[in-house]
Amino acid sequence: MSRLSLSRRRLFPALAAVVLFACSSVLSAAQLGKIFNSDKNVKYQVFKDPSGLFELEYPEKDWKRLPSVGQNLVSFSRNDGPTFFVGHVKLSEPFTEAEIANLPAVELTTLKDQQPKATGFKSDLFESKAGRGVVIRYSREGAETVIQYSIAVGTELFRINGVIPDKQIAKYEPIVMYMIQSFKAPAGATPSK
Amino acid sequence: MPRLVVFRGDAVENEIRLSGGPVRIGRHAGNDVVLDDSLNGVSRFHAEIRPEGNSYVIVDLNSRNGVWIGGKRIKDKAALLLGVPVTVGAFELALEDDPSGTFDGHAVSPRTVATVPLNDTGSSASGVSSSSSASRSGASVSASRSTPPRPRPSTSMSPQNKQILIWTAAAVGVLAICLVTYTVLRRRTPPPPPQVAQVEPPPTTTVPPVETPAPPPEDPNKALNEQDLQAARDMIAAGNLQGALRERVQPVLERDPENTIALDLKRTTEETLAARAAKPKPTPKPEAPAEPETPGIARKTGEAYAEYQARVRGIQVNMTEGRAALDKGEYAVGLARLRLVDRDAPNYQGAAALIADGTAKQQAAVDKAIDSGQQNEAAGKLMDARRWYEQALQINPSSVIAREKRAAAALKMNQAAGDLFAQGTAALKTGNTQLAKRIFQQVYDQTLPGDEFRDKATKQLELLK
Repeated sequence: MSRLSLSRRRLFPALAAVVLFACSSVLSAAQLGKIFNSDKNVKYQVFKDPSGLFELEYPEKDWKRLPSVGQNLVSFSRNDGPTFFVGHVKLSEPFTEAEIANLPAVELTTLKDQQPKATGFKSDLFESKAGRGVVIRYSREGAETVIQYSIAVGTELFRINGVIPDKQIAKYEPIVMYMIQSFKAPAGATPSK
Repeated sequence: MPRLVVFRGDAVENEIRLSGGPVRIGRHAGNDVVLDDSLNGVSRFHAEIRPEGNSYVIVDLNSRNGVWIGGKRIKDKAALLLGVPVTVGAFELALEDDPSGTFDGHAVSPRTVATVPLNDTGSSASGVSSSSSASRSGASVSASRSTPPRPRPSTSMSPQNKQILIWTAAAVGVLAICLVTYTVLRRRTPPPPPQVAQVEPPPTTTVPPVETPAPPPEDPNKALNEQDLQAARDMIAAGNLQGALRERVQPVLERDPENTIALDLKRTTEETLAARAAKPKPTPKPEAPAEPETPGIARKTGEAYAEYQARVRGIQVNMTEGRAALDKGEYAVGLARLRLVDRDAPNYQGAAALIADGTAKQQAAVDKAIDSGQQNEAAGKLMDARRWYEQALQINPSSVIAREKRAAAALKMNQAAGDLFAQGTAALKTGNTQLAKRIFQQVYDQTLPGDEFRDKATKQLELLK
């Protein structure tokens, strides 16, 4: 009995390590981030673009949808500060693989040109339900953090932006990241792998 | 019928009654009128007198010294007028009217002429009269001597023409005096005095008698002598001294033994010939050393000397140029030339040592260039790195390391340029043309001529202008 209990004591840590390794290899970092960071109490609803270009999920409570202005197809905001909007650019033709691979640099340069006072730019590739895009994070005037997700689908380039006051970054970043990850284009399309 | 009177000096040689047929004149015995001219002033067939209508013409039969009327040489033929003398060599011919004939001349000078046969054959002229050595000196010629005076044109002349005639005569006289003086000074036998015709006043006119100037006496041998002397000079200039003396100078001296030009020419030519004869034959030069060889460059067996010299020149040029190239740091060129020298002439002027020294310097230069390239590559300056590797290859085109480094740097540059170019096209597709232009310009700046993406960027920039 004592021998059996001793062997069981050794088996549990090994099993725990195997399970952890399996989980880490199956789930992406973003998914892990979502799992570990998302607020499980937040419930989301689906927004479908009226013209069928895309759909995404946004919190059911406290987030208001605003009418579209200019290149923004849709905007959401919460009263205490964070905003979320989806920009859109019609491409002259679809990006090539090389262009997609170099899209982070293009988007980074474009942002820097548009916002010369912004700092702390960081870019990375990121997978959403619409496919692989680029996430750029930067700080604007030392007061808020902007997370931009750029993804091209066919001849459509979407720029999804979440603007979070720095004081609320811990609270709202998981929500913004969820909304980004839920982005799907065109609406109803199967998520690409 | 008119008659032809032949004068020689003051004497009448012949008189020929013209019958209406042609009368040929010349030195040859076959002529109708034979003019015996030992000095060759008269050609063998010199001239011919032919009737034309109611007059006569004299035709020059391509004679050497020609037929002269009034001091001018006739061309082909000329009208033969009564009383106008015609010069043929040393003779003068004059057409005179025969009082008994029907010749319709311009003037008639009634004369008493004693006729004698021209020759025994009397071949052509119907009637020939001859007066032997009758004097022509002035009006004192008596009819009893049967010496005809010089014919004289009997036409009446206008005072103006007479004045011209007088002045002409005076001028000819002066010229004649000058000629005589010149001849005397040259100690030559003076030529016969100018034939001055003594004329009788024409019976039909009251014009006082004037002297008609005769044409200037032409030395019949003068032209021939000059021709021979010129030919002699040409032959002497051509080196044919003996021929010039024998064929040209000697005949001139035979014709004119006192011809000073010919004498001078003969003397100088003979002196030259004598000098040549006395000149010792050139001693044969000592033979030059037979086809010397250049030290260090051996002549191949069977190689012609000209070929050998050409080869030597080539080797020397390679040596000189090779050294100069090494001095300038152009190791590849310099070593290539020196290796040619070493191949063609081993160890010529220390070529092998120069090659060894140059090779070492070349290797050091290549190593230095590669080091510089690697430093630039580490600093991210791909273009500068590539240039250094390129220089290393220029120093030694066969350097494998330099070639590999250059290729690797070019590949990296190409990849970077490709990424940048993709950014440019992506920006272009999003409509951000300003950014696209900027990126394409960067591509252009970060590539070298001939690179793939430089050409593409250039095209894009052209489109965006």
